[in-house]
Parts: sequence; structure tokens; C-alpha cells
Amino acid sequence: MVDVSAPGRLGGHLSVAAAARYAAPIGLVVVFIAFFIATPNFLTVGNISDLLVSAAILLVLAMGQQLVVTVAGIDLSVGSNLPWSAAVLGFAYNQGWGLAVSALLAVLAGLAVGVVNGLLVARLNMTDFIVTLGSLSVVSGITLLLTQGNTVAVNSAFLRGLALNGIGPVRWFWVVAFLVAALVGFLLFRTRTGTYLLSTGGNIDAAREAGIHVNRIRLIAYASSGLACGLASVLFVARTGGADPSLQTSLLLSSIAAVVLGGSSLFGGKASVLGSVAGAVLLQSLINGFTLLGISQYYQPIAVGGVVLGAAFISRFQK
Amino acid sequence: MHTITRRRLRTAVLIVAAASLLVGVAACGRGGSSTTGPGEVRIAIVTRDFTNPYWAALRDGAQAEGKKQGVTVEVQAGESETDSTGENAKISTLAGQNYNCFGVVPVNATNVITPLVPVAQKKIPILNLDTQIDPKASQQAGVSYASFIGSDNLSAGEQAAAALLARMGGHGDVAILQGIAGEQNGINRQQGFSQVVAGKLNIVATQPADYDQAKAQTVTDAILKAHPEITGIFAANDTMGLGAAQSVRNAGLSGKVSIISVDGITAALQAVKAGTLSGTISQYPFAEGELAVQACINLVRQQTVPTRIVAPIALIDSSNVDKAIAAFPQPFVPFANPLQPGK
Amino acid sequence: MTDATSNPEAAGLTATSDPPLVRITGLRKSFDAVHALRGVDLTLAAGEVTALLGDNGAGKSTLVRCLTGVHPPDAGEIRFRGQPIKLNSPDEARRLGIETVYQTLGLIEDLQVWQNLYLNRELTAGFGPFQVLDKKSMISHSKDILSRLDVDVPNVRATVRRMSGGQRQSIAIARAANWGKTLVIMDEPTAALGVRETAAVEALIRRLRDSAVTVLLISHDMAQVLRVADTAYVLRRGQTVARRVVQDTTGDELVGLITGAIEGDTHG
Repeated sequence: MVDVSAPGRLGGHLSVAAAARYAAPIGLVVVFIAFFIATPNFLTVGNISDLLVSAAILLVLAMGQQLVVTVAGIDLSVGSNLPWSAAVLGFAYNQGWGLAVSALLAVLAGLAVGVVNGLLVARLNMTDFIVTLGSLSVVSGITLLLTQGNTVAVNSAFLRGLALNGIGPVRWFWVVAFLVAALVGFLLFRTRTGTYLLSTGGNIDAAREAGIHVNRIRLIAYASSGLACGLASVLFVARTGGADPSLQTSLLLSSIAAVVLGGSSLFGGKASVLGSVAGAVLLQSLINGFTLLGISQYYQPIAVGGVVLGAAFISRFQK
Repeated sequence: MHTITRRRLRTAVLIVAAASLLVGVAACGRGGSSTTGPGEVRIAIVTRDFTNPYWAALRDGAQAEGKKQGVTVEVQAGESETDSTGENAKISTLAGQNYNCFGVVPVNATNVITPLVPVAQKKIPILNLDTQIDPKASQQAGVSYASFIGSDNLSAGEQAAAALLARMGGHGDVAILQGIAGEQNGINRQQGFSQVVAGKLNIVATQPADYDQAKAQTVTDAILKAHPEITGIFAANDTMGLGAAQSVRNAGLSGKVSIISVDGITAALQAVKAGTLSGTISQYPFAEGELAVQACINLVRQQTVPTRIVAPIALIDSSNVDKAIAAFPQPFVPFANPLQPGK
Repeated sequence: MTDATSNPEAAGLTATSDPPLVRITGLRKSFDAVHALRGVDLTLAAGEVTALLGDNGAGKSTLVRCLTGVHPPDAGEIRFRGQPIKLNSPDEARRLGIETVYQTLGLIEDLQVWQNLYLNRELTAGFGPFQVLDKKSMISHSKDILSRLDVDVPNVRATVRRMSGGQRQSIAIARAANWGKTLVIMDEPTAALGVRETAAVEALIRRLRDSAVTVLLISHDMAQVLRVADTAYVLRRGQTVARRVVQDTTGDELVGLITGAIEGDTHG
């Protein structure tokens, strides 16, 4: 779903800009090869399948973040919207309302936060960084209130099956994540709304002059990110067997890192779903590979940060 | 049109090349791990993080015992006290490798159960370390634990209460600093404490400080302002106790407010020696790590292991702090070890 | 044609008393303390090229934005084909067939040429909520749009970022010319263009007029105004100070009216 642009003045062969555009997928292949050489345990069907399961939640969050970044925004509330939606799921489930209803409520809960963010940013014209930082705290507090600070256990055989099973090595978890990615890619590059999202981020004045309802578009972006959190929360509860109200700052920062790695510009207007997917899988691969190699925990954040910086450097060549 | 097809072709070739590289390599059988020899013990331990010195000590104890017994011990962790998915990822990665015994410290009561299901299905023994995992949820998932190795946090709270009561002369106002909301050990410590002081001390404030030193200091500042008459503070862990001690010192109340916390990390022992902390209920995560490895060795060699192994705790105050520091990280008094590591 | 020193308000009425395409009376617009428009009168005769002149800060851009629904005016009236209208959004202006090329061009740099040409007018296939962009049609039509107007852009699938200033301007003009059915407004359209490209744009303006599209042209280039425009209005400090039939005036007179060296028809 990458919006391929024309080759530059170098004609039909791979130019530097094209390579920069594909930095994340290429980097992913490089990392895979590196780990493959370092240990025979990395490139096995079981391990890769498991790696993708671990990356699934991050991937879904990154897709929501992708849409917000496309309109030159940022969604910091992801760190508490995820546990909030999970808490709603846990609450509803333990009230005996059934898994389907609970999952639906979780998704709606995430969507609601996204809509509030979108209204504050778009209609009231508040800075997105500050709005989502504020909602990060507010939603965290609401979650603690709902759960009374406790982790709410959710004992569902279906969710356990969702987390563990699949068809052969193809696990439901990453099927869901890839479906979300495909949907977002389709939205961005095959629909009018996608063009409006890219326009609003690329040049909001020009978009407005063209008659695009930029406020509505920004609202859609933030709402979508909230929706993604709601969906990710179902995966989260399936994976961890419960709703933990703690702030998920690691997932928040990784969701931004994955989008940046993928080549999207934080200034908006440029998006790459393939890149963000590769970015998310790349981040998870680093952790996975280091675990297999028994490399000290302390090197992992250095490696992750290094990769992000490298991606930022390479993206300068995209012009 | 010509350039468009050429570009699409290039993209397709790239994708197909990458995909076939992966598939070919995976299929070519460099995958798969080496088989374990008979009696060879390979232990995997996963905890919350290594930034908390408590878990670092557990890791160190496990690795030391592993070296002593000549077995492989791999210790991994998540990123923080609340990194449930990070820890999960570690467990499921290691579950796919050939370890024959697992030890796990969960972030919360349920987060590790799902990734442990494949481990249980392979009939690999699992030890629950330090913080209890929800037994009912585990059972429903088909996961059971060969043993729970951990100190008795209820007892730790009770011992802290007894020590604080003694120092406060059996009466007075006390404040409690709680850990991360919902974290079971903290809940148990608080419960043990509250039960013992009930009717004797007046608990005027109970506030969470998330096992964080800076936060504990800020919270204590506020508590001291609101309740200037308190003479005792119980902190559910040492880092919070140290933060409270700093606040008390800044307020000029050292000596007037007694502070007891739980864990027994080095900084706390130093504080007890310096007199800024009245005492700490020392837990021995290093010993927990050793016990975990010993238990695993027994399990792999088909020997029985008790379903509950109590790790030692001890009150450290000015009377025994020097001995404690000298013996650190080991307990300075021998403790009853129900395990004899098999041959 | 009406006489040269006519009352600006009465201008534009033909003998058959067809209402002019656009008639603006007494338009006022302020932004906080800045009074950008302090009572502007302007009439655009259908099928004519009208030039809007004035020094920086005279109110030209503000007037254009009022006419295109970006800033609704504070007071005054705009009549379109005789009917009073209120333009509250760019959408409403576009629906009347009014297209604009702003000085900033209004292009999205990271989108491709065809995407810019079809911005907010995308062709889709399918129906209801399942509409998919019909890229093939838009790409091929874009080529037609550009070639019809002699615009030199070899690859419509290149992003606008890679285009030169002249190419960008041409794309923006081609877009407005393609979609503008009643009125095309151009704000300094040849500012970044070379001689040949300028000539091409002026030829385009004449072609538009010949196909009965009205053009409102803002330009500082007196020679250009004399070449292409039929009527010229001069704004000074937010008010209309003069209307001239281009045939009957000179570059010097227009410049004088702009700077205030020559008194306008309305005073103050």
C-alpha cells in the first residue's frame, strides 16, 4: 500500500531517494539477516510466528498513530487509552455481559477518547501535543478509578485461544494486526478520505482553500487512533489475561518510533503503512533477537534508539 | 504506462526476493535448536525488569547458583515494573527455545499466564517466583506451578508492624506508603501491617507512591504537612522508605519519626546504619534466585519439590545492620532450605 | 462599453440589462484592529477579464478571500448574477463555479500532480461508503487537462515537490481553469514564470475569456494588465478609488491611481 512516487532524475533505476523511502523494510531484512547469522534460533517458523504475535499490539497502535501523524499531529494519550479500554473490557466482562459486548464496549471506549482528543484539537484549536498529554493523564486517572487501582483479571477461553491459536503457524493475533494495517493502507491511499488526510497534513491552508473540511479530517484522524487503542486493548487483554491500569509508556513511545522509522514525516503529509509495519516488526525483532542471544538488557534501549536515529538520518535523503 | 508497470514490477521483485530469502532460509533447517542431553538442566527465569535492584539481585543469585551447579541459567526481564507486554514477549520467545524449567516473576496476577500455556503444554515445570500468579486463572488456562518460591509478604508486614510498634511505644499516629496499585506483594505487606497495628496505632494517611523514591518524598512532604503529629511511617518497599526518610530529614524530624520499609536493598541497609531509616524487613531476592535454580534442578531430575518454598526474611535494624551488610546479598543467618540440589 | 469616467457602481450594466456576473457593494472586512476593506465596490462583467490593482496592503487578497468564501465579510453585499449571496465556505464558492489560484498556489507538495489537479474533486468508483479512488481515470484525464493548456509537466505521477516554480504555477492555473465554470480568480499568476510561460498563461486567460469564463486578475505587471484585461479596478487602503476601461487608459495613469499621485473617482 505504499504510494510509489516516480523515479527521480536518475530515471528508471533505484535512486538514493527510493532506497531511503524503503529504509524500514530494508533495515528489517538487514536485521533479520544479522540475527540469522548470529543464532540458528532466530529464523525459525516458530520464532518468527511468535515475534509477530508480540508485535501485534504495537502494530495496531502504530496504525492509529500513523493516521494522526499524517495530519501533522501526535497522540500521546495512547499510553493510557490502551489500559482504559482494557479496563472497560474487564469491567464489562466481570459484570457478566459476555465477551462480544465487552469487546465492543472496549472499542467504543477507546473511540470516545479519540473523539474528545479530536474535538479539542480540531474545533477548539488546541495544540495536539498538549491536548493528548492532558488526556494521557486524565484517562489514566479515570482508569485507576474504574479499576480501583487493581488489575482486573479476565478469564476467557476465547481470548486465550485468540492469543495462542491460529491456522498452523499463522496466528490470529498477527492476522488481526495485518488486517488493520491493510485497512489503514487502503484508507490512506485508495480513498478520498485518505487524500484529505494527506492534504490536511501536507498543507492545511491549501487543503482548506480547496474546500476540504480540515477540522473534520483531523477529528477523524484522532478518532481513528482512539479506535485503534480500543481494538489493541482486546489483544492486550487476551495476551495478558487481564486489564492492568498502569500507564503503557513503552508502547506509546514505540508506536511513535515505528511510524517515524517507517518514513512518515512528523510534520505531516507523508505516510507509509508498509514502513510503519516494518518499523514495528523491526523494533520487536531487536528485542526478540537480543533475548535469544542473551544480550544484556541494558544494551537493548541503546540499540532501539540507535535504529530510530539511523532512520531519521536516512529519511533526510528522501527529498 | 510503461514506467508504471516497470516500477510495480520492481516492487514486486523486491518483495518476492525478500520473501523467498526468508522462506528458503527457514526451510533449509538452520532453524531449530540443538537437543538437550539427558539430565542437562537449562533454566529460564523471567522477571519484571532489571532496573529495580531487587530483581537484579534475584538474577545475580540465580546466575551464581547456576555457575556453582554447572547448569545453564538464562535470566531476562521486561523494561519496567509495569511492562506486562514486554515481559510476555520475553517469556514467549524463551518458550520457543529448549529450556526445561521456567521461573517467572509476574508483573500482575495474570499477565504471564497466556505465554506460559505452551510451556505447560510441553510439560515443562514452571516455578512461580516472588509474587503470586492468580491460581484460578492459571488453572483455567491449564497452567500449574511446581512451586511458589517467595517470602511471606504478609509476615513481612506483620514484622514491620511489630518493629514500628516497639519504636513508637505502642501508640501514636502512623502513615502508610503503598506501592503500585494492585500489586499483590504490596497489598499483602500492607494487610499484615494493618492487622498487627489495629487498635494500637492510628493510621492517619494511606497514599500510593508507586515504589518510586522521588514520588515517596513528595507524598511524604504532603503527609507531614497535613499530619504533623505522626511519629511513624510504614513504606511497602525500600525505595519509598528512602524517599520518606529524605522528606523527614528535610523537615528536621529525623529521630522523631520512625520509618520502617520492606526489601533490604543495599541503600536501605546503609540508611539503617546511618540512622535515617529505622529498619527494613530484609527479603533476600538473591536467595530466592538460588532457591529457584535449586528447585529447577530437582524438578528436571525428577525429584520432588515442596509446593511452597518460603524464602527467608529478617528485620534489620541498628542492632544487626553491620552483620547484614557484611553478608549481603546472602542472609546473615542460615535459613531452612527444604531443597537439596540433586546430583 | 461604458464610458471611462463612469461611476464605478453603475458600471458593468449592458444595454440588455443582464446582471453582471459579480457585483460587490460596500464590502467591509476587519481583522481585529486592521480594517482591510473599508467599503469596496466592484463589478465583474461576465465574460470579461477584470484586473484588480493596488499597492501592498490595499486589500486585494482580502477581497479575493471574501469572494471565495474563506473569510465572510463583515458588511456589504455580494451579488452573483443579480442574486445576493453569502459565501460562508470555499465549498459554496466552488459550487458557483468560482475557482481561485492564490498567491501561495494551494498545492500539496507531497501529493502527485494528478492528485493536486483533482484535489477535493476526486473521481471514484463504487458507491456509498465503499468508494475507491479511480486513479487510472484521474491520471489519464490529468494528462489531457495539462496538454490542453500546453503545460509542460512530463510526468503527472511526480510529486509537486519536484516541480519548478513555473511548473507549480502552471499546475495551479490549469487546475483553476479546468474546474472554473463561471469565474476564475488569479492572484499574481505569472509572478514566478519566465517569458514563454507568461505568454502561455496570458494566452490561456484569453482562451478562458473566449469560452465565456470571467477572469479576475490581480497583477502588479502593468504591461500584462494592458495586454489582457478589459477593465481595471484600483484599490487603495481598502476602498475602490477608480475603475478604468483598459483600452482607454495608460500604464502611467494606473500606476498613479495606485500610488495616489492621481486622485481616484471616489474620494477618501
